Amino acid sequence: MNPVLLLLIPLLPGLMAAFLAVFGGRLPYNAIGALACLSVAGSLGLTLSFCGAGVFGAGQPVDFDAGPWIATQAFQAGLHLRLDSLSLCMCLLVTFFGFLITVYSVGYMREDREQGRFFASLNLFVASMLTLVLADNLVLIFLGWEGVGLCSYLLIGHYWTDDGVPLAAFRAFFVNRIGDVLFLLGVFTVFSMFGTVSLSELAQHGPGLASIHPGTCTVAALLLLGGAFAKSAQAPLHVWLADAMAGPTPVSALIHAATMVTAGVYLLSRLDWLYAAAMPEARFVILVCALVTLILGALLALVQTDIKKILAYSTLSNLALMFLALAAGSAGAGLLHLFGHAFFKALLFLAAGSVIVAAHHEQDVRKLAGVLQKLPITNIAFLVGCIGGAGLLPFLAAGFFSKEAVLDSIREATFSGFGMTIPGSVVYWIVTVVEWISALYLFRLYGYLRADAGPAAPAKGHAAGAHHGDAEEHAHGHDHGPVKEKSPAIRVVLALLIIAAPVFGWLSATKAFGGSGLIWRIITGGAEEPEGVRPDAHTFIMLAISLVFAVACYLVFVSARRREPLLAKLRTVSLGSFGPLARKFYFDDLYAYAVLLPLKGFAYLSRLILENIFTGVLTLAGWLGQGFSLGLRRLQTGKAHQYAVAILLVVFLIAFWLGGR
Amino acid sequence: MPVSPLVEFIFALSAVAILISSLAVVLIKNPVRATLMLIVSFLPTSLVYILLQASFVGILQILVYAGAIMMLFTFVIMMINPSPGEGDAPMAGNDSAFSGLRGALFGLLVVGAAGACILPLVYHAAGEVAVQPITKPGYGGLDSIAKLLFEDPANNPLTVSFELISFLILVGVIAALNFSRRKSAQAIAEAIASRPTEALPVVPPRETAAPSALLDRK
Amino acid sequence: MMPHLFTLPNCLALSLLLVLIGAFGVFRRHSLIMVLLSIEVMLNGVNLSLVSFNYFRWGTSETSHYLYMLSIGVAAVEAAVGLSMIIVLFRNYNDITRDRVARLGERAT
Repeated sequence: MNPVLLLLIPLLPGLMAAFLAVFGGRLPYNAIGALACLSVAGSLGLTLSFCGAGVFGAGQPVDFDAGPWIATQAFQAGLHLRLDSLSLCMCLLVTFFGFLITVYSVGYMREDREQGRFFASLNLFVASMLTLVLADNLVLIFLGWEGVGLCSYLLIGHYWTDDGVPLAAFRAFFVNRIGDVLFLLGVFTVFSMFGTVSLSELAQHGPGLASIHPGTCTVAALLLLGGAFAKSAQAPLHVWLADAMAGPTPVSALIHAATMVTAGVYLLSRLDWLYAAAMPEARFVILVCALVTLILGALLALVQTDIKKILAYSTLSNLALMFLALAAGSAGAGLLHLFGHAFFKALLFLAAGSVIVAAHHEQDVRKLAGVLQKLPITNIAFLVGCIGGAGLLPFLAAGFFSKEAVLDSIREATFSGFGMTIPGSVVYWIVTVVEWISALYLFRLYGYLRADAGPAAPAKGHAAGAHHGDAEEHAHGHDHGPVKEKSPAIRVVLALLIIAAPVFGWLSATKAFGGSGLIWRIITGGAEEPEGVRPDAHTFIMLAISLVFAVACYLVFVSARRREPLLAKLRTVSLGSFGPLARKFYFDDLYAYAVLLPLKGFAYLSRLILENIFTGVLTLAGWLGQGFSLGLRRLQTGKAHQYAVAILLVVFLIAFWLGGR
Repeated sequence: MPVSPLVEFIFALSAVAILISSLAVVLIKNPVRATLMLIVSFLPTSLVYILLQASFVGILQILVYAGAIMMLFTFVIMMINPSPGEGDAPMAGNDSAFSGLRGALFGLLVVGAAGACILPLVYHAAGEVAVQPITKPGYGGLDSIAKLLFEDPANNPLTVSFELISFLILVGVIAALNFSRRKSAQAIAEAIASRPTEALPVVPPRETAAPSALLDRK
Repeated sequence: MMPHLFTLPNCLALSLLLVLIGAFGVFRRHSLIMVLLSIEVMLNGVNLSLVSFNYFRWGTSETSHYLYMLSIGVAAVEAAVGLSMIIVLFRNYNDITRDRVARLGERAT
């Protein structure tokens, strides 16, 4: 395989992005969509062609040097691309989902304006993400890092004329910026310690050097952690992800479920040796932040009423799971969950998108009852996605095995740091409880959407169809017209994913559950699963409880028995107005006080000083000039005799001066 | 060079007379009397010239200065006949800093200061100068000056220059005549129209000056 | 007994004083004719200095005496021209104070 093709993988979408950015306004819509899909398909094809090159598992990585980039005496960072097993898997992920979602967008964005801009940004995103995963040195990763951050901003802000959207986009960018600063500082620390930023060199020589300086290692680890947290939305830098749902749904699917937010996990798994060599405090920090995010995400998802917000908080929780695996030292489990989560979360988001576009951009679940009944494919997609998200049926969904792997790694690990030691089993049970909650909220969502919107019992709160209790024809909660699945593109993509997700689930079965462990080996570049992992009582307890919750939701929302007063009462229960939940655990307020207030104060002070100083200086200059001129003006009387006096005076002065010499 | 005490006495007296009469010229309000005082001041001046062995110059002083120029002044004053002190009092609206008693004191101050500063320098500088005796026979006499001016006219720059004085006088005559010629109203209008308008227009002051843009910022 | 009075410094001092007195008159007098008279006083002083320099410092030639003649020639011409201007002014404005002269450049409104 010619390594030059490696360069084409990120280059194709990049060039197409540039092309679409310039000419996108003048092309017809179908042309834009076709071009965008074509470029990503090209990348996908190239990636697939590398699959047979023996890279997988413990195979031979493919290197390609595209040329020097930063080449100074002390520091070199070239355009080095490296395709090893993990990179190839990530490339497959990005191109596969990129392609599917681009195709989906063709259907989704049909009635939109500014499609050229959208598809250009989407392509640019794919190109940046591919650069990120193919990069062989930290600086090139940072290039991709920044690129995906930029595209995230551009795409979130796609409907920038709507209320609150520009702010949401800016918020995402700003929080990511904080992470970028920390990331850069981490890179500097790494370079200062190891003298190189090349990942392959670091992986080779790093572990040896790192054990000599655990302190500096920890500092670098923590700084890079900051960057990863911002990109992957962990506490306290998680505040942007929920608001990022202001962007179009395909964007949420691609960026905020499957790819960009996983960049942090990818980075940390690449630098796993650093965290292994650093002091345990580094992993402890990951544990704490991930736990906070896990619980926060689950609880908030339970009380949301917007489809995409529910899914966003679910993403938060799942990302936290991946980080927990990393904190426990098992990068393989974290990565496995990365891939599995990508499948079912993308499926859920795309299905949600289908619902949204079918219901004319209505996103409140309380008004969307009965929609799924009209959209068969979307119905199945949602069901498969929820099952996978809750980890219910082992072979049907990808989420189950990865969650089990994560839990097992947590159970085996011990977290110590800052004078505290937390045994893995404690965390294990916390995660289990949260997983039950995740089952609950996922099926609550499904229940809302699946519910029959017929002449339901009049309810005070959320019961569906409350406003439209009349005929069945209007049972979609919207005035605008009938609901139907709109676009073939959407249907095809959903169908594909419905098939692909279980397939991946089946393939990803870990050895503990009788699978081949193939995916694990591929992802981790040849490592085998840790031993001692096997299903036990706990697994079945978790399955059972989750199943109970799922069935409960079905009863409450969907079944014919839902009209019983007890169940109807259950439907109206909402914790959404509970203080901390409503205020998202006060993180926004924290930011407002800790970050925004000082910034505003500083800006105000600067403005005050500068305005006054500048005005004062200028006024002073003006006053001086005026005064001077006024004074001098008195000499210009226009009267010749007074000028004669002046002349005489000067003559005398000169005579005096000359005489004195 | 030793001079007789008589010479010195006459010089002293003449000097005092010159100073007093010149002071009178600048201080007396009546123009006729001021002119007369100027004429009076020429006499001691002439005397000093004679003491300086410049007899021809002394004669010329009386003949030309007192005889011709002062006659001119007298004629004009009589023609114009300004009242004594006319214009010397500050006019209405004349709020120049140099009018009135304040102006007089200021002028005195300036002049006095200048004098006080320069006089010592004069004495210092001129006191070191060595006096050269007069060696030319007939110094200052008519013969001597005539020879100085007109001897060897082809190579004598003074001759040409002397003749050019007459040219200068001619120019002055022409100018004076032209000034005082009565002009018809049409000629006056033409002169005004053809004159380039170099006079600055009188700009009326703004009643409410707009504040500068800089100070307007809120 | 009497100190030497007839010296160059004394003559020069006399001439300087005349110039200063004339200058004071130029500042001070409002009427144009009086200004001209003051100028004559100044010229008188200058001429005195010319001749005294020649006497005390240049005994071989009386060139300064010729310079004196030039000076009074120029003074005569200047007085003539100035007086004719005064006559014209008087004829037009009936007012020969220096303030009126200063306002000559004003445009007739």
